[in-house]
Amino acid sequence: MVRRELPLTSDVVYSFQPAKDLRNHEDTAVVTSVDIDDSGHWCITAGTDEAIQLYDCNAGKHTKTVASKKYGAHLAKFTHSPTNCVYASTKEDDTIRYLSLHDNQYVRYFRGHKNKVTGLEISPTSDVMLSTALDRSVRIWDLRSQHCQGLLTVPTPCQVAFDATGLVFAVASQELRTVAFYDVRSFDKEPFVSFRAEVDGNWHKVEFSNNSKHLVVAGDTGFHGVFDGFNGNHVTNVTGFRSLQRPIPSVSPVCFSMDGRFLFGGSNDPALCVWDLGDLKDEKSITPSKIIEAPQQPAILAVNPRTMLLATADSSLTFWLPSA
Amino acid sequence: MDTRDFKCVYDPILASVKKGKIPVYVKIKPGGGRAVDPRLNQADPRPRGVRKVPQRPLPVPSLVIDKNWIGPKPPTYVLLYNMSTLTTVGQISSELQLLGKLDACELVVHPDTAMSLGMCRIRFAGDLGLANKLASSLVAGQRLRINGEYPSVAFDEDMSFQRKLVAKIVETKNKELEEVRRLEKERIQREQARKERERQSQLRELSAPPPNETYDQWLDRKVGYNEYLLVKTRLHNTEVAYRDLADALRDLYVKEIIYHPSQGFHVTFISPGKARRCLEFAHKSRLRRIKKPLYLEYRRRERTDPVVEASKQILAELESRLVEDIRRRVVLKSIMGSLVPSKYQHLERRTPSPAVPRVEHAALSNGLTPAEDTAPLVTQTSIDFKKLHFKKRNIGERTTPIKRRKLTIEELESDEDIASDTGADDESLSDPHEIFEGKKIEVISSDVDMEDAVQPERETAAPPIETKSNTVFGKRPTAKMSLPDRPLQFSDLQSFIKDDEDWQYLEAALGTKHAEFLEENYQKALVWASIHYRKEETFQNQHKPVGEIPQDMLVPEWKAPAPTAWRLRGYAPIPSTIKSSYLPHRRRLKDPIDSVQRDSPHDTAVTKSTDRHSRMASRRLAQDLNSQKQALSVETSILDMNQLLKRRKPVKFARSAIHNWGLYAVDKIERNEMIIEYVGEVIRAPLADLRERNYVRSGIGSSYLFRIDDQTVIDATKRGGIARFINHSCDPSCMAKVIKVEGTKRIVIYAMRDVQANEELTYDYKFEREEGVDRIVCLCGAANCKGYLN
Repeated sequence: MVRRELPLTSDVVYSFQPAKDLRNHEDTAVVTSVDIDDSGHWCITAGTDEAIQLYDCNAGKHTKTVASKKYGAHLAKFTHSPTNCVYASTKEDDTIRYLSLHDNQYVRYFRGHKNKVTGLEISPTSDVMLSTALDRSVRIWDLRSQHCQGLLTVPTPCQVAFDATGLVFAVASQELRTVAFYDVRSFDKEPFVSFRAEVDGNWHKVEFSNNSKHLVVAGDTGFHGVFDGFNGNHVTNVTGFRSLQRPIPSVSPVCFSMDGRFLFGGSNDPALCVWDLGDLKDEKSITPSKIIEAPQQPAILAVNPRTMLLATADSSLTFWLPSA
Repeated sequence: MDTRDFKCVYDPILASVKKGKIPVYVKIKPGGGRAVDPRLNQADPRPRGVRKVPQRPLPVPSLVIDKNWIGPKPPTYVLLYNMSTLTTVGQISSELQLLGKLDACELVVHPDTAMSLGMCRIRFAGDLGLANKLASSLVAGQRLRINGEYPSVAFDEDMSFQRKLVAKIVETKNKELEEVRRLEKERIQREQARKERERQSQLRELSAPPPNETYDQWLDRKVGYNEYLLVKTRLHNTEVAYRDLADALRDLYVKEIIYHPSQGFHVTFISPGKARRCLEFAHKSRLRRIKKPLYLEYRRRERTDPVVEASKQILAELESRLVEDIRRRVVLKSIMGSLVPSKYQHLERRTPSPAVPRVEHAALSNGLTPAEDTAPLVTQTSIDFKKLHFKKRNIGERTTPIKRRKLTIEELESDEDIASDTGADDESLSDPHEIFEGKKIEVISSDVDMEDAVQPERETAAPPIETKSNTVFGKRPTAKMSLPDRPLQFSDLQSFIKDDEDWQYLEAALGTKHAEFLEENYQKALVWASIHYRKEETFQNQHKPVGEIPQDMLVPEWKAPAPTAWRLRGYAPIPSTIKSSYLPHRRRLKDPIDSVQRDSPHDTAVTKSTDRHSRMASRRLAQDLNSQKQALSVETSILDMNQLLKRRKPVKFARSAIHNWGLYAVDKIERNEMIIEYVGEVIRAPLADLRERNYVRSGIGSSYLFRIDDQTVIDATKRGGIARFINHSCDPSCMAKVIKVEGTKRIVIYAMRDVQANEELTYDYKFEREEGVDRIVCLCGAANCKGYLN
């Protein structure tokens, strides 16, 4: 089957349209996290109905439901293998569980957190996993071992994010309005960069762009902050959208495109906003270059690394395709 | 940083060197120093697996279109265009059914004329996704072949493309129509203009003032010296009157109606006598119908000046006389003068003449000495007359030599055939001699018994060359001097005398007694003459050819060409060898005659129609018919189809070399191919027995009953298919099988071996061995022939 190929240009990106709407979680449930694996073939969502849904991104079809009634599921992330994922438990205790999707067996439990896990990240290049929880700790794990590899206490609950190289991770505290960069291999040392990020409200997410050029800090007061990925200088604020209304705070209301040039963000219009960060001329804030109507507010966003597909979710999962 | 912070320095699971099972943790002390951004360190090799920034275009996944699809509706309607206008919906849909079930298949038609435009709008059945998938495969490139051509395919959800194409076609067609109409209009206009012009010219003539000439002169010019009818009228509306008159006088051989303003209408006719007829006729009926009755007068143009007439006639006669005189005196003379052979002596062949005594054969020679000229009516001077030889005559013909002597009166009285003759004088030929200075012709006759023949009497003149009995050389027009080699006949005698001069000389030769004798014996002479005449006739009938004619003298016999009308050719029996080349029952069994007419040599190769396709087509047809039957509530047999008919091969019946009629294969048939079904009346066994007895009693010697099984027999004696013509052979080319088709048992003939074109099909009848009865002799001519059928 010959699939057509499109370059990542603004025409193509602005032409994204919702193509499929998959409602496999229970009607009352809300999707709490979306993740797409490295090959771009699979998509996994975790919902408040204590189930993990697995989708095929190439066909846009639901493949499997994995129930985790006993522990609940949140922040389900693919490991570097498309058949395994880690997710945080919401019930019973706060273990991070390593699940094998194809045979529904747990591989490993990562015990250590004392409170709800609010952030779970896997390094893009290695098997290092970062988790942060409400017990004000940032734990560093290695997927191969259940022993925690490192613990960092933070004064406030934080967000964590890996850099695209996997050598650096950022820890962001919304109360202190501070973001610090750590070296992964020598995280016991002090962060080499620590800067103040003036983003109001609750911080939902911190993300590095793929070329490490930018770092975005997602807030919930109507604007997000974009900073330089190396030294933390403030680049611009992205505005022009309506903040999301959700019972549960979104874990990923913004997402960089794969080349780092565009920033996707969800708006309560409901719409998808696209900001072009290509030619920034020291603007204080930029408005979306394109607002695309969405069937529901794109609360959680994920970009497929290998195909021209965008996944957004609120109460159901929506796949977006360019219509150009 | 907190005191609780730790780092695991040894993990038994991860470590390469095992140092125990317990992980070792180390507290993180503050003041360990600031880290350095490892990304800036160029020496640090970029770890593998870094998410690369996409350099190439990313593929767009084709998400399955199902109930969760919220994207734009995919196109499902497809337009096939650039097809022939004769393509039917059935052809298109049957071709597309192979891909998937169709939801809609409509031909696009011209909005005004409802004629097909060679376009079809198609949609596959099924949900959106499936329909789109099938449609996309069509558009993407899967080539459709409909009715032998490849139509173009395009998505056309909203019919915009279709409308565009239709509009274009309609426009072109309208333009064409316009063009045609315009041309037609022009033509009509031209026609009308022409008619108008003609009418105008006529009118002008009718109404134009006469040119400066008198009435008589005008009459001269227009009417001439014919008879004509005059309609005396001076009308204003000449056109009307002209039409009325023309109509009234139609069919009366009217040549022309001419109007002169002073006198009226003159009606001329195509041949004399018609004027009077017209007068009678018209007065009787038609002219009364005209509103204003017109009276016709018969007029005949008289010659007013007899002198002029006479002079004209004299002149004409003079002219003709003059021409003739010139012809006779000048032209003829010059032509004849050029025919003198002595002028062309340089053309004459100079060969020495053999020393053979020249014939003074009174009868046969031209009666003149060689020194004298003859009067040959020779048309060709190039023939070497010196080569002419008369061969010996048959012995039976003449035994006594011809004696050259004067004819005595006694002899004249007797009944003998007198060979000698009294020739005319040389001078008798003076007239012709003057005119024709003939060439010296020496007729040499060797081996003639009459060497001491009669001297040429002076009065003997050469008989005319062409006599009735001149059959020596056949019936061709002779150019040679062919003297009859036979006794002189009475008519020859008579033909010697040509004119008075001849007669004078004859009288002189005969002497004075002749006149006296004649006076006395006139009646006798007459009688004698008549007797000889009669004898002559009979002699002519019994005339035999002289004898063998030397080959070099023989001119090849000229045969009249066979008349082209074959009815004139007469009948002749056709020899057997030729007959066996075209009559199938005359030939030998193993030599089939190629009797099939083929238009081109390519047809001799059997165009192997893909049996698969034809079988598929027939199967489809059967299915269609069945579905139609089901759709019909009434049980009819009109939609029944004999499937076996589809599989039959081209065969024909013709006279057979084995027996009477036989079945021949038109084209080559391969082994194990079905040829034809043995069709006939299906009857039960006891009835078959009865019928067999009846047929034998009524004289039908051949048996056309074919047994299927113990109970059933197929009888093709009175009703059946041409398979009944297949003859028996002890070395057959076909075999019969009973197969079940649609629940019924049928007899089908299969080819046992490869059958050539025009070969007779045969198969083994498998009759039972009968005892005590006249066995049927087998005429198959096979090597292993059993001799009898049963």
